[in-house]
Amino acid sequence: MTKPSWQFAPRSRAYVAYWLLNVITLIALLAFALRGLLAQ
Amino acid sequence: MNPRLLIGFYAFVTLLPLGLSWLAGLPARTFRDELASGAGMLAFAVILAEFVLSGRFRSVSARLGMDNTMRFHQLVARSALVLVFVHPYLFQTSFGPGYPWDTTGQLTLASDTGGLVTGILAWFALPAVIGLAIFRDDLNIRYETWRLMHGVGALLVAGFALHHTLTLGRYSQNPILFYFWVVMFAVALAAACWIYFLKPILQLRSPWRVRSVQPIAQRIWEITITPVAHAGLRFAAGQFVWLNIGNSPFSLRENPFSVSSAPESGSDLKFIIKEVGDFTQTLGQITPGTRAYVDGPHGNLTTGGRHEPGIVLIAGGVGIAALIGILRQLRLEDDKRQSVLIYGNRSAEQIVCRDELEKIGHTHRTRVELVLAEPPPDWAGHTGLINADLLHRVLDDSHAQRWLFILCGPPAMMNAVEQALIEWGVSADRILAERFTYD
Repeated sequence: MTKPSWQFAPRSRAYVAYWLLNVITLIALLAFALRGLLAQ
Repeated sequence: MNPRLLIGFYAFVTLLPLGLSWLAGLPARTFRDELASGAGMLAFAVILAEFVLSGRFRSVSARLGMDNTMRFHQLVARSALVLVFVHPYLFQTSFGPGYPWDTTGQLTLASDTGGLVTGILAWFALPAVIGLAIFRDDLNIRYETWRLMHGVGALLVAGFALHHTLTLGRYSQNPILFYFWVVMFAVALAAACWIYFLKPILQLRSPWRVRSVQPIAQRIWEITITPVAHAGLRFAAGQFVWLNIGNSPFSLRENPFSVSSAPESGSDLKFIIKEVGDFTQTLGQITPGTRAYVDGPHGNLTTGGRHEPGIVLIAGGVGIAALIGILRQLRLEDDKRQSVLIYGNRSAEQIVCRDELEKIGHTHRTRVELVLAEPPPDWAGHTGLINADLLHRVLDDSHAQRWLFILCGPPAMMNAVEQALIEWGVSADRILAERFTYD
């Protein structure tokens, strides 16, 4: 399948950095939302 | 700032509102309420950061690469859209007047009407701004019209969201977060002012004049501009500029074009431009002497600082514009590296600077491989499209393992070639690619 031009080239450094950033952001958001439960 | 630090700084800035809210010490509400607030704050921080990721700031795009910057800008906008969409639906607590004894805002969501209205406006305006950007070609909107709508629309989204956040945001009542949003908004506003007002003012001080406009192939023109009372542009071969011909620098009527002349060849800039869009269809009407303005240089299709033993240049159609600039510079500098140019077109009439390319092929360390999809009967070059099969016919493993690859052409070719090279084992950091969907 041809990738859309607005996506990063698979396995490129930018691709890895982008998904790493997504994962970090998601973890931060979930940690923020769960902090009430985590504190209990 | 190196790219890793830049990405780290971006992560820090966009996640800072969550950190500041966490440190504010307010008691946490339910998971869904906190997720809703977090999603809203994250989306707003991402939207504000988008203003400096617009590709117009060389300090960012030169380090990340123009393609990466633009793709990142486009991708995170989609992520922000998802966060903004779910933001109001995630709240469990209902709207209502605040109770005097509920000082930490746990029992109801504040119901300030103005704040609600601006939130709703931002909620509708953001998908409109992003949708127009994604479907601009399908909607047949003129580029400069779209650019104005994109800038004004993005500022409206940011302004509405700022009011919404400052009046309704539970955590924005914290003075540090309050001023964080104000400063971030001011930076975004300054970025927009720089792009739309200050840069054009600077361009007025360094005008250019069209020296010549010549047809050089089927529906392809070469335009030469010369600096008026200034030294010209310092750039590297393979870079591009935003070119504005015949309009005020405030008009937004500018398009990105690769410089096809070599920096070493003098202060004049040459461009190879194909008639494909609304501006480019009027190229033949441009007369010598017309005033022009240049914003640049941008892009990182450059060979400077690279230590690979050779360079493979792969051009599709008018993508040759950037790569012929590199070839001309390699020749003028008598660069010792070997190079291979793979240049594809539909028909023989579309081949640009054929004589010059053949001369470069004979006199410099460059092998020129021409490819035609619809060749004439007497064609001696390659036929078909530039794809994995052709690359394996023209190149060998030593190229794939050690050489630098520079790609410029239409998206379909770029995607196919990039994919083929990666599957062949070419490491991504040895592939330089830029694609432009602008006309």
